[in-house]
Amino acid sequence: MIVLCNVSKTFGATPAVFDFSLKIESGSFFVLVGPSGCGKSTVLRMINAMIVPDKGEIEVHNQNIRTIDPEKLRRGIGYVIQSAGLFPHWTAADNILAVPHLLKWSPSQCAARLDALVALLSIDRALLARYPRQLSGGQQQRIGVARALAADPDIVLMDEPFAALDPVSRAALQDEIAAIHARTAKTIVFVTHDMDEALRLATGLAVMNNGRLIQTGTPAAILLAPADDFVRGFVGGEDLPLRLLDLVPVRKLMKRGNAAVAATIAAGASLKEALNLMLARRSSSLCVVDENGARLGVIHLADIIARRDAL
Amino acid sequence: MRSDRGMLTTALTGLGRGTGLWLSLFLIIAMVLMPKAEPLMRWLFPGDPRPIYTRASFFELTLAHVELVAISSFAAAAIGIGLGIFVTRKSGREFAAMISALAAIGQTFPPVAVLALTIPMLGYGAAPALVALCLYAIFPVIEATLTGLHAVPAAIRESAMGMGFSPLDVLWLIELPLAVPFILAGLRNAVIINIGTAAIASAAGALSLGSPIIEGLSASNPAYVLEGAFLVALLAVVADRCFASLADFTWPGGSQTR
Repeated sequence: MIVLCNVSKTFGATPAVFDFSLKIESGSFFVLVGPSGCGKSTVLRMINAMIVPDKGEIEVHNQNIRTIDPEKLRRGIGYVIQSAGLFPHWTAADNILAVPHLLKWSPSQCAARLDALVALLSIDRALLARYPRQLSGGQQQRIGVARALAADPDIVLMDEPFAALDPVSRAALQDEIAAIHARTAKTIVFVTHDMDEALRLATGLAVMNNGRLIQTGTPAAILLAPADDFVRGFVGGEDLPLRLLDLVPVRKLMKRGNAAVAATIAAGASLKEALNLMLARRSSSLCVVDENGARLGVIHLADIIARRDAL
Repeated sequence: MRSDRGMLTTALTGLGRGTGLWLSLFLIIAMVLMPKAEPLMRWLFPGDPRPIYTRASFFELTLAHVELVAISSFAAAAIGIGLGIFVTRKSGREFAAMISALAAIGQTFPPVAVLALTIPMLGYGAAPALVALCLYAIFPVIEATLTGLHAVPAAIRESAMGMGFSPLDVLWLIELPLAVPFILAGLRNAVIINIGTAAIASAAGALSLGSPIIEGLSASNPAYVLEGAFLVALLAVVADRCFASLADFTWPGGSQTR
């Protein structure tokens, strides 16, 4: 668990973060969103003591981080930045094992961990002997994520990690990190200015503006009841109803029975996907099926329009 | 056809890599054969009664010259790299401007003037020459060290710190290895400059390849000047080629990115 209590930080004359309090539960995928310069990166960098707050206290695993040696704290927290920041004179494998080397793991431990990470992030083994300049941006960031996970930290901090990637690499890495989170129950604190990315990944969300926390809660709670006009505008404005559909699986609005339509959709797909398929097939209902294709029920357009009951 | 060109390229690259070795061999041959060049010197400078410098062997002169350059460059490297590191750390940042200025003054101060000032303190011989050469070489080394350390991208330093590297780890494992090509380039400049400048050490009474040059100038014997100057120039080229091959060996992963 990470707790920030009345934290403030001023750089020169400009306040970056002001009286910021937040509790991040263990195992959550917590996303800090806000416009550029709102202080979200500063908050992230205060968690691993890269920035020391002027006022307020931060606790990680119930221990005030002022009482922990910063290097020891950081070795226990994964850290990924936008440009990956790989060491250009080290091979991809050496980059991944940077923290295990710092912690003086044995060669056999390192080799075993490397194998596990290569499998976890589906890294092509041929890339391991290459230097960063010989890798694409997506491959570099994949190595960067592996490096952050190398010493198996409970907490991983990610500062706009996928912002500079092409849409295909970005989507692939988003899926990968979501899957890793689901499998390992690590606490991930993720900073982004991209609302779609935030909604796609977050189990918990905090919206920031001008160094202050404006609203925090689950994505659905924030989309359904934005605290003010700023949040409403930031989380979607006119697209807000469509974004909400993205958060609800078809399963929740499915009805028993049979529909006389051929089009089918998976129970785990989102309402937005269902709506897309309805528009494409010019049909107001779809058959819902499970992973094996067995029919479970039916979903109707009218129920999607009345979706609020589902949340 | 393709393979022919491939072989040619390989052969040329090999020759390029090997030039340091070939030139060193050439330097040794030149040192050994210089006394035998009397007919050539007589032909070049007719009327010169003793056209070959004989007070010390050319081998001895070259060795003394290399020794002067090596000791002064080594000291300059230690001081220059040390100061470069110091002024890029948190504790030394405020000295950066001052150190840069002092180094620049050291560079612009004529070595002869340094000799004139240090001879009264250190006496005649190699000591004042070493001081002058060292002062002269510090500036390029500091500049190169600063350039190299500043060229390390902030994101790399940031990610290293964020992973829990201590400031010393960051310096040893990340910053210095990445700065090596720059530092090596600065050292190369310093050594080449010093090889030329070391000739004036003989003005302070030290033995060097400058000895025949200075004696030739004072005794109006251009043959001595040519003999000394030829070996100084050859030595400089050999040193340059050696640094070039050294640069090829460092930093396999990144040498082509910069």
